[in-house]
Formats: sequence, structure tokens, C-alpha cells
Amino acid sequence: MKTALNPRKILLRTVFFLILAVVCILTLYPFIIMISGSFKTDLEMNSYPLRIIPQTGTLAHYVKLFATIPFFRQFGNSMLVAVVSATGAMMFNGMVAYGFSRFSFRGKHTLFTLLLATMLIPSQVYLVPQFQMYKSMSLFGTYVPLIVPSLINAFGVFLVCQTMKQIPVDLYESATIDGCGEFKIFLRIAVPLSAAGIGLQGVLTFMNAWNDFLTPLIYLNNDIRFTLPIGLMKLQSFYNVSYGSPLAGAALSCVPIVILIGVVGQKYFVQGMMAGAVKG
Amino acid sequence: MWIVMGTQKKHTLKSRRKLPYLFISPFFILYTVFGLYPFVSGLILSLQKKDLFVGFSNYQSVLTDTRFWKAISNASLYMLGSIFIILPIALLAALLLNNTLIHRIRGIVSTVFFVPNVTSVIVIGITFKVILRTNNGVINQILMNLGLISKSISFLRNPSWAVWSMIFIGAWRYFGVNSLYFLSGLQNIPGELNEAARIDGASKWQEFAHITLPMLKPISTYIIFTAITGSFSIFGEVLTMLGSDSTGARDSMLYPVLYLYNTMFRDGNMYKAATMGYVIAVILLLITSIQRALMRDKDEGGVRV
Repeated sequence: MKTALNPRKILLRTVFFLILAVVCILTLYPFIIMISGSFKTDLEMNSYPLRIIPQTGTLAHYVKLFATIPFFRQFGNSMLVAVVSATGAMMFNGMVAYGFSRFSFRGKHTLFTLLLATMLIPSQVYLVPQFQMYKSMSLFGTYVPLIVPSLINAFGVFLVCQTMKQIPVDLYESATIDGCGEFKIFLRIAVPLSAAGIGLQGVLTFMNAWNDFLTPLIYLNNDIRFTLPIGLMKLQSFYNVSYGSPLAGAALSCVPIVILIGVVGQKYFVQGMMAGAVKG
Repeated sequence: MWIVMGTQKKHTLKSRRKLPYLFISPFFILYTVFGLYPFVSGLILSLQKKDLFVGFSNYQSVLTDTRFWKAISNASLYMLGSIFIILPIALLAALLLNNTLIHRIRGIVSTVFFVPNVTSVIVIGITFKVILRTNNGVINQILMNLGLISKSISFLRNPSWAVWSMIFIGAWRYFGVNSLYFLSGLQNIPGELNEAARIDGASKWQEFAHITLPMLKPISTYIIFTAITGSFSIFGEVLTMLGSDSTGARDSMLYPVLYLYNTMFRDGNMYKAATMGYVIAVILLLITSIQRALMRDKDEGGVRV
């Protein structure tokens, strides 16, 4: 990048910048609509022309949102499910990935192939029989069916394996010579050194659980236990609710995701996801 | 002394041999209970009706159900739209992002591109309902201001627009993350390859067709695979935008999972719904194996060149 740019390159760069700027604005536009809509009066929402900044801002939709559904309760439920899912996923995926990447044992290749093969079974297959199973185990209405899928996520194991494989064998060996047990090696060496992979796996699991719609819709049946997406879905069907309150709820439901992206940072995210994707 | 050491060594070896299985056991135990067991019991359900064994009659009733095929055809149209409209645009954007001229804003653009992918379907449904609605909808207002239409279009209710609306939403949702996937594929191409081609006097287009595209094959296989499976899992957006008892005019918004869900929880036909799950899975496996075969073929051609 040390070479001086000639006029043609400057022009080209300006054009590229503009194209990307337009694409970014289009990508963010629905969020702008969402936020601005949540502050607009019903009258303005249904009038012409369209404005981004509301003419007469109102908080009425937020007030109505909190009055119509137990919003904070449902927000908390979602948070509980997502945090437990993510913690469980990090624990289980870390353990399983360690088993596969640290040791060589009989049937390893077959078992790993089996593990990956579970990813190829489309989820539609499980919907009905899992429902029957959870019902017969009296787990309908609980959060168990929402959390379990995160724990048997083969993709997560694969992702953590990718980072654990990069830990030098010498480290393990010297720890063994120092008299460390395998569980100690796992906790003191493997986990800290693959924290990036495990952490990313946790974040992705959190987001999936936070955004999940179909599973809680099937398994939860009362508004005190609903997760936020189901609460917002039901909110839409109230007779006196217009566009505003669902938009307000949707905007608030994005907050944890936005914070996560901000904290974790894009580079880490994108690179981590790619590590899993390029498996050919 | 020797004997003591010997047994001790033997003991640790034995427990060491079991240890790996201990570490990997959680996955296999949980999968057996919560995955394999339902998989098998679902197969049994699909061969039953009211607890009686009925052979393949459920399969017959699914396969002769015109609404089921309508759902499959909607998903297939959406799938073709994602593969042939969304992915090429995503590739173009990736090529642009990969250009050294814009490396300074690559980070921020990538973040923005990533956002729709981690936005929940309920947020998408609520927001795009406002964007696509007939009266004073954002798109309708824009099209009217541009003078392209004189009467509002009912994007979600008009059967000839329904699939296009879904592709539009899909484009917004998956365009960005797919260009990031393409971008990572592009960045994995060794620079020497392009250099060698340039030295050999290849044009930009030849370079793209003979180096870039073939080198993008692994990541493209993955991207197309997710586009296919994604197309057959559409559910929440439709339910949120249309309300829970609509499947659109003339079933134009009926998608496989939605139909399965309705069969199970509205019609209470558990046996047919279970069967549907397996039929959808087989159709998906067929499509993805065709995809794999097609892409493998071309790959070999690429190597020969």
C-alpha cells in the first residue's frame, strides 16, 4: 500500500466506497425502520410520506409493550435459556473435542464420522417424535427441550476441535511428566489454550438460543414461561396492538446481540465461523 | 519393586485407555437419548395410524397431498432464488471487499454484513411486515415515489408476489454472511496463483474463471448446502408476518416446516406429520447429493485445465 495512488485508482476507490456505503445503509435500513417506527404515533405510522425521524415522538408503544406482556420476565427467560445453553455447550463441546483431539483410540475415526453424520440429518425429522418423547417424559412446558439441542451440536464440537488440534503435543507431554491428571490437563491447558474456539462456540450458541423461535413455540404454553420471541409473537395478535409495540419489543430484543457483537468484535467472529465452514 | 511398578503401569494404562471414551461420551449418550431414539421412534410412528401398523399408507397420503407439494415447490423456488440471485450478488460484493483499495473499511463493512445473520426471525418478521405492507409500506411508498407503480402491491398476500417477497427478505438476511464466506474463500487463494496467471498473460476475466472460481469451490459447496437446507426450514418469518393461521393466498406462503407444524398442532395428525418429516428429509438429501455430484464433476474438470 506504499505506492502512490494515481487518479484512476482514486476514482475507483471512491466508487467502491460509495457502493459499499449504499449496501451497508440498505442492510441497516430495516433496523432504522424498526427503531423509528417504535417511536411513531399510530397516526404517523399510517401516513404519507415516510419519515425516518418521527414528527411527534412517543413512548406510548413502549408503555403498552410493558403493560401488555410480562416483557422483563420473558426477557429474563430468554436470557436464562441462552446462558444455560451456551454454558452447557461450552462444557460439553470442550470435553468431547478434547477427547477427539488429544487421544488416539480404537474406533476414533468411525466415531468422529458418526458425530459429523448427525449434522446431515435434517432437523425436520426430529420435530414430531421429539415432541412425543418430551411429552411422555413430562418435560413439556419446561426449558429442557430448548437447551438439549445446544448440547448435542456436532458443529460446535467440530469448531472446538479445530482450535484444540493446534495445541502442541509437547505441552501435554510435559504436563503428564509433571504428574498432571488428564482432567487437570484438560482444565489447565486445553481449555485456556482453545478459549477462542470455545468462546466463539458459546457466543454462537447464545445467539441461536436467544433467537430460537420454533422450539419454544412448540414447547412453552404459558406467558410467564415464554421466551421473548414467543412473547412478541403473541403480542402481535392482541386486538388493540398496532405495529408500534411489536417494533418496540423487537428493538429491545436486539440489545443483547448488539452488545455481544460489540464486545466480541467482528474479526474474531467472522474468522471463527470460517474455521468451521471451510471443511470442504 | 519391579512387580509393584508393573501393576501400577498396567493400571494407569487401562484407565488411560478408557479415558478418551469418557471425554467423548456426553455427546453420544445425549444424542442416543435425544436424537437417535426420536429418529427411530418417529420412523415407527410414520408406519402407524392410531397405534396400528399401516405400512406405507402415511407416505402415500403425504406423497399424494397437493398442499405438501405446493409447500415443496415454494421452498424449491425460494431455494433457486437464493442460489441464482442472492449468491452471485454476494460473490460480487466479496470480490469488491477483497479489493486492496478498500482494505481500510473492510472491518466495519464486514460487521454490518454480519448483523442480519444474527437477527431473530421474529424481529425480521415484525420489521418486514411494516416494510412490505400494502398501505403505506416502505417499499410501496418508494416504488410510488419513483413512479414505478400507481397502485400499492400486496406483497405478502398476492400469490404472484409472495415468493419474491420471501426471496427479498432472504436476500437481506443472507447476502451479507454469504459474501463474508466468499471473502474468506478469496483470501485463502494463494497470491502466487494469480501472479503466475498474470505472468502467463491471462486476462482479468480468465484469471477469475480459471483460478478464482475453481479455488472457491469448497466454500461454494458449503454456501450452497446451507442455502438449500435453509430454504427448507423457513418457518418463523411467515408465521410472524401472516399471523398464525394463514398460509397466504392459494398457499403461496406455505412452506414445508409450516405445513408440518400445522399438520401436527392444528390438525392433530401426528402420524402424517411424522411421515412428512422423513419425506422432507429424503427430498433434502436428494437435492444435496445432486448438488454434491454436480460440483464434484466440475471440480475434476477444473483440475484438468
